[in-house]
Amino acid sequence: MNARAKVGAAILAAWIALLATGCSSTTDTVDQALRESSSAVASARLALELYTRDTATLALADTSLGDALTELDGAQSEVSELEATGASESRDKQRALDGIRSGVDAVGAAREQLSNGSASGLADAVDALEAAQTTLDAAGGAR
Amino acid sequence: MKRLFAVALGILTAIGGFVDIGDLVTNAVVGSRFGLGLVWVVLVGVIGICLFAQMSGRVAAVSGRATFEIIRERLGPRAAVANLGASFLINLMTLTAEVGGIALALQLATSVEPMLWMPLAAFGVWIVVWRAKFSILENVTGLLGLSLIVFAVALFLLKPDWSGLAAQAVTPQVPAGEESPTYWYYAIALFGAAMTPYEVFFFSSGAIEEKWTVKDLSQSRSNVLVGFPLGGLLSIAIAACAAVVLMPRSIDVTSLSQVVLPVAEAGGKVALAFVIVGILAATFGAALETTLSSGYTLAQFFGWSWGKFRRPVKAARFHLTMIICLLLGLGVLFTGVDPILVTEYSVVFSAVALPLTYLPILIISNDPQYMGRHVNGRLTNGLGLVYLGIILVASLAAIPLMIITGAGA
Repeated sequence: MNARAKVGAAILAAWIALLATGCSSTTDTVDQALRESSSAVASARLALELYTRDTATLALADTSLGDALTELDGAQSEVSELEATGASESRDKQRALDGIRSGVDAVGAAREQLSNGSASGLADAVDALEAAQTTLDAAGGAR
Repeated sequence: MKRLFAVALGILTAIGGFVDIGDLVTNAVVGSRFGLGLVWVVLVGVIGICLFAQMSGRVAAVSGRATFEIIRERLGPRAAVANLGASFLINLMTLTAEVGGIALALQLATSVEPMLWMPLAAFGVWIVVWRAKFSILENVTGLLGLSLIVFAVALFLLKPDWSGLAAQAVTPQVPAGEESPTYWYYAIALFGAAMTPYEVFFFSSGAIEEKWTVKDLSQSRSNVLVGFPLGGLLSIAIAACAAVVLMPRSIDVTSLSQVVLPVAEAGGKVALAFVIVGILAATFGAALETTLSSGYTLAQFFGWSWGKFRRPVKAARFHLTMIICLLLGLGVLFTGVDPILVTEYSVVFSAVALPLTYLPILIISNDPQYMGRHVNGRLTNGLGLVYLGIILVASLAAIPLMIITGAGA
């Protein structure tokens, strides 16, 4: 092996090592998905609160809720595709999926209330989002 | 009086034109996750862009030729191809992100899906590039972009704990729940956002469009040395708003709608209207600049006739390049890729390409054959070398950090 080939092999080995480091475990993926979901629900809640206080427009609130749903859908797909090995990982995966689903339901319901426009319905939606965030944070903390 | 007005206008448009989708998103992401712990990177980035933009403007004003024309002549086709390849691809990525950003800003105003706005945004960019005068397109978008000052106003209205913010900025730390590689990954992204290559090429080509001469050097300097740092303050205000409103709620920024929530919280619907106008102007202005830059880089490299000062029929290949680039960007966006994701990648890849962009500028601005007595002084060269070191480190570390952190996840 000449010097140039040696350098090439060393670079290749370094890249493989990096890729191996970069590959995330099931635990990391679940943690990440829960964090993203909690953030999305918190964001939806803030947007809805601003709308109920008449400091945000309907367009902004609707867009924020839509973005939150996209984020939650992404997190749900990520966790669903995970191959859990062992009972503990299966339990974690299920707990995460339940938490994310509660977020999807709460944001979906909030978007419906937004289009209906009833003040009491919006207040309930804010409460439901808060509960969903608590569930998500608990699912993250329980791990 | 006329001169003073021109200087003031130049500075104001430099401030308004400093922020683009990359700055908006990256500063908000960083603010929501690291508070003001990465403000130092904005400072380093702003000094760097000032340094190289004024070098590149000086090259254009003194030699009467744009940077790319000279790079090929001075460094030969091989080095120029590396420079062109890196700059052109990053520019195309940035153009895609900016057109997506226009669509996202319009969505904030209307809640209509961005996909429906994208063709209209690209058409709007093309028609303005085709029809509007260079000075008009630069000044109108730059001045409207000043609406983003609402981020600074919002920060005051939020009545933050100033000492807490100052402590975050002065003694940067990696917050609990974040890791060092992620912190450094975002440091590079922020650096790439501040030093986006297209800004320098646009500045240099713009100097030719506006027929700058040596007499205009002081105005060029004031535009850069006053306008860009004030633009940098806007970037810090965006990060600070996110740090004050989003960080305590554990909201990580992944969409443009989240970037504006702190402004709505602070100033209600009026402030929201200002910020949407500002984002629209900033992204539209940057889309114009990146579209023009794509034409400038290719035309200057191949020696084609170029420039807004020529009628389109006299610079057909220059205009055709811009149309093709807009269509390519639109094609990428139509795949359904998230424009925010394109933005995040574009700023990191900007950092990767920085040495290929900035080293040739440093070499040319030291060449007395082109610059005469206006070559770089010792201080500029010293700083230039320090920055080349920083740029090289950022460039080499960007991809490994992207892999290790899962692109900052």
